[in-house]
Amino acid sequence: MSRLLQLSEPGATPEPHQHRLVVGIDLGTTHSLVATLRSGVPDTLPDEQGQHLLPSVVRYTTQGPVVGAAARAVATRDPQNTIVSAKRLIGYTAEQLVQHNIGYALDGSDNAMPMLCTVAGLVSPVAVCAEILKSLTERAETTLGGQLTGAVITVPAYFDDAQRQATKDAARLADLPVLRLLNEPTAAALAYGLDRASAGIHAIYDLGGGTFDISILRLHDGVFEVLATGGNTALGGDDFDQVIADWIARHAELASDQAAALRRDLLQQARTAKEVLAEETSVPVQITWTQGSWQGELSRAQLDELIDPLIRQTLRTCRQSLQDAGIDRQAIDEVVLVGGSTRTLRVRARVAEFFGTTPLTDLDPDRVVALGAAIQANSLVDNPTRQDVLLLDVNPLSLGLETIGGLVEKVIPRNTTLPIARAQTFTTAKDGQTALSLHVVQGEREHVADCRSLARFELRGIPPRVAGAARIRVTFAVDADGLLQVSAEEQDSGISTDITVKPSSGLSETAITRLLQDSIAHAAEDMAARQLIEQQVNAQRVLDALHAALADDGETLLDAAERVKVDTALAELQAAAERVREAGELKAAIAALEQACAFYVERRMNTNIRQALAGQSVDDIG
Amino acid sequence: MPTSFDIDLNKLTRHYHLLQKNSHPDRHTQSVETAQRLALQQAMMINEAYHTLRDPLQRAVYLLSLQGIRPDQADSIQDSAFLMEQMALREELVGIPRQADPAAASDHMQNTIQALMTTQLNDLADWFANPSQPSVVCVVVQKLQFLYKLQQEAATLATYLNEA
Repeated sequence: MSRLLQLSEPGATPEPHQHRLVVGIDLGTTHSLVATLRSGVPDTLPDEQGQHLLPSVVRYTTQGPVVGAAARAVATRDPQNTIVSAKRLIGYTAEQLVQHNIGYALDGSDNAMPMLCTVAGLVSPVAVCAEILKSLTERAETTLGGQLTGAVITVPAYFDDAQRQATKDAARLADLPVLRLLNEPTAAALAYGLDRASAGIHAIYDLGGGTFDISILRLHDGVFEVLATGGNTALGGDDFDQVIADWIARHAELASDQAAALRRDLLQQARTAKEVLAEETSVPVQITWTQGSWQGELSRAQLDELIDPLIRQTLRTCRQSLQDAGIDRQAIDEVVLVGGSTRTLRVRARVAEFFGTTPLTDLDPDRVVALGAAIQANSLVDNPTRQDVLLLDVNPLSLGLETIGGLVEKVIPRNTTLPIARAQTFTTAKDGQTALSLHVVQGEREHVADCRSLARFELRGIPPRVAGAARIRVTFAVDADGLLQVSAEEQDSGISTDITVKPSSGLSETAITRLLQDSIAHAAEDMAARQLIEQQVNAQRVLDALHAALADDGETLLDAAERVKVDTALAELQAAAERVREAGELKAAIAALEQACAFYVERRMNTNIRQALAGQSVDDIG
Repeated sequence: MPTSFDIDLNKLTRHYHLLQKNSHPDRHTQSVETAQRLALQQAMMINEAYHTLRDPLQRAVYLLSLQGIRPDQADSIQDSAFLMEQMALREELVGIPRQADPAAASDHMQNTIQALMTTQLNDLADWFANPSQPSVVCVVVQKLQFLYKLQQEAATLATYLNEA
């Protein structure tokens, strides 16, 4: 049920609301999944062939993109047009991608928006992810028989601002409303129902295809608090494959710069060998190329030796996160394993050894994140199940400003609970200075050069004074999705400026619009109809919310005149919702109602806070 | 909760969770926009308040500000023994990466700082239990600020050692 507020008594909302179709999507590096709650139980949705995992592979052809298994099957034959692991590419500049040596033909003419060259033309990594999202949305809409209201999409906890923004951009391109970006480890904890335990501290060890995440979560009073997160966005099972492929190449005496097709063959062999070694103690390996072939054997002990340095890296990150959380290893109650790479026995053994406890592995490590995302999606639209889960997440990386000498002044340190707003006062360095350049960066290092640049903007029109006299208050605000807004105000003159950090490597607004126009499958009138339906749903939601609120405390919080004002506004929107046939007009009517009732909403919010505190004191006495 | 330095941290956390259960933006995704905006502001304030009150030094600075006492505007520390000790600790910290066992040296350093902080935090609690001259508490706060900074640098070094 929609409401203005969390009501003090659950169940006090008057009418049952219509069921909204929402899903959780795990947009993974190697494969992706979509899940939803059916009769209160989360489940992943299979495609027509009964496959739950959609390989995160998109092949571009002159007839259009092909997504999933069909694309992966030809990845070796058509490497330039078949994009695998696009998640590893999003949120990076062309320059950074060149450094990573991604193996695709790259158009870096616009450094902020790198493009991959395919037979279907230039394609951005964000658009590749959008194709995967579209495919999953179609699967869900076909299975569930209706249009999706929205999705929770998971991201590695360690994703930075640019990568989060790029993920949201991909959803926009796929025309999929995002309810929330959810950190993968938190989703895993929800899937295991750790939120239903009484209390405890849990570690989520998530080793996927391309990323590693560790999160330390504390559960208390039905609130999930992320104490610390850490990780590596460029370390995963793919790297296991790489070291195994290198081992095969070394023994087959192949040159280190193999052709793309041969490299993919090697990687495929490596992947198979790794999977077999989860069951067997040794595996035959064989590779054929144009001039020859090689045959050999890889033992589990050899595999362990190859991947141990990579596992050690993950455990170092675990140690750091424990330190950030301020707790000892012994304090961890449960360890949850997530990600296909945790099937590797050596990983399980080393993690168990590190934390001194046997990890939970009941749920399929490939599906667990999608299941948790579905639970959270459901809880966000308040479909009537376990809506009591509240997640308090943190920002994974420190946010700061460049100061004199190329040093970073941290404004919001990493692992600060979200949402958060922090302000710091800066001043001018020179006499008569009238503008201040602000450079927003993300990262843990002291020097700007070692951190990630998020945005630059200027505050102009500062009244000229002697150096150090101006007081410029810079405020960083990070919302619950982890996205940042920065504003700057000169205190005496009141001049100000602000910027929503559209990270430098995300897509620009115009680029999104253009891509949207390019990719719009439906005709213009379909779009208009869809937009109208969206606004009609919105209007109904707002009307429901206000009715519920009035039934709850309209009598006590409003005097007669105010009540008339609210009732009139309500009636006006009610009439508009029935009459208006144009989305923009209806949107304006909703905005008018919200404005007319703002005083009431505010009063309710304040009353509610007081009641919450009052309730607590009674508990304490009891 | 009482306005006091000596607080029950468990109770503080319970209050915090209760307030966030009301105000967190996730609890208002279906609300009207005004409510969503207010919820965001409230959630930010609640997080900041919890963050301030949870930490003894920040809690002390806040409580002192309510009494009009501003340690940042007080005279700077004259305790030369304390300052010498700080300099020695800093030098030791800088030398840790060159030690035979940097990880052990780093742990030892963090324990040393923790012990020094505990002493000062006890002094801080004593002052709030039996308030004397503001200048007394200002010195304690300043010493703790030194130690917090040092602790932060030690933690950064530990991070660096973990990554190396």
